[in-house]
Amino acid sequence: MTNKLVLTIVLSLVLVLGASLSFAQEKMTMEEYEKQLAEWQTRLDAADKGKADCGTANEALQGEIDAVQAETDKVWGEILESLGTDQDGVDAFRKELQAMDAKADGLLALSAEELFQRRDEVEALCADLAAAKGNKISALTEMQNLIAVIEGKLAQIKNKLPKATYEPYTVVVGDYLWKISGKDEIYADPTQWMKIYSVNTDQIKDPDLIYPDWVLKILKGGTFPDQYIVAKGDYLQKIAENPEVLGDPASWTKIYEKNKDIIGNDPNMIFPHTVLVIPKE
Amino acid sequence: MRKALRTVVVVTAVMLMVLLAFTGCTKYANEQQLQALEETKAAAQAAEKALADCKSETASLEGQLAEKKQALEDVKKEQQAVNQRLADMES
Repeated sequence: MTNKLVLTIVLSLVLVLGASLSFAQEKMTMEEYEKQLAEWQTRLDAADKGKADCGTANEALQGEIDAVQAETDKVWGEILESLGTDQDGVDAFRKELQAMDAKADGLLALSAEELFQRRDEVEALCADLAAAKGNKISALTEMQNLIAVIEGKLAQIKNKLPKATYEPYTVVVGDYLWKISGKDEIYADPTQWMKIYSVNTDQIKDPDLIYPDWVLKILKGGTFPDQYIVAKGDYLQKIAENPEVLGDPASWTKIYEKNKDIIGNDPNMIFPHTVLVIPKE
Repeated sequence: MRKALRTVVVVTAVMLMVLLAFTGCTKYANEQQLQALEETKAAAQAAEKALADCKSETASLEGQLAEKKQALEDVKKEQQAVNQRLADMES
């Protein structure tokens, strides 16, 4: 009986306390309210003041930016004036250089033989670049850099181009091919007379007959891409087999057909120092 | 049994009286005040966000100013270099 009584009292207490706590949690006391209101009001005032100060600072910064930009524009205007051009002129010059750069890239991608065939374009590009360097706009650092890049590519192109050239030699009284070939300024080796004969077949029909005042071509600095100089021990099949020539021994007949006027009727008889023209495939 | 029931009723009544006495003495914020507090809180938060945005813009403007100043220095150097090259071209 007593236990039931105690249990009932405890349950009543729990119920009353629970109700009391629940009520207290839902409501905000005036003290808490005033404290929170004051705190938020302080934060609001501080933020409003900060915003005002920040806005003023930003306006000042924007003004400074505009002033610096105006000064930059003024100096750039002076540069353009000294170059005797305007922004459009600079843009057009840049495009011109970029086109030259692209052209140089295209030429650089070619093989030595293709380059040789298009050597006029290389020379034209060199001339264009020289003209561009004479333009006042080239004094701009950006253009100087572009020109340096193109010059670098042109140097590579020139390195890739065959170095061979024809130098003129005027025949004098008493000259014959053996004698000319032996001259120090020619080949300093009389046995190389075939080299002179084979590149001058348009004039020399008989190697024993040359005349004073004829101007002969003297091959110097190696060979052109479509040429091959016969070495000791060479024969047409061996030459045709060379991967840098045709890469196929069976194609020797093509070489023979192209050089029949120099080789003669016997394809098994070719002489060292003969300059053969290699046909294109 | 009756005695126990009476005791429970009495104890409960006493406790309710005590509770009412406590809750009756405490002042609570009314709905209007709570609404005002919420509005102040929202306004403060919005102002703080606007301030943060403004400070972010300040940082951006400072960066732009530094870039513009550098660009000005560069263009001045370019002017000197161009003048020198033009003089070299003419000589």
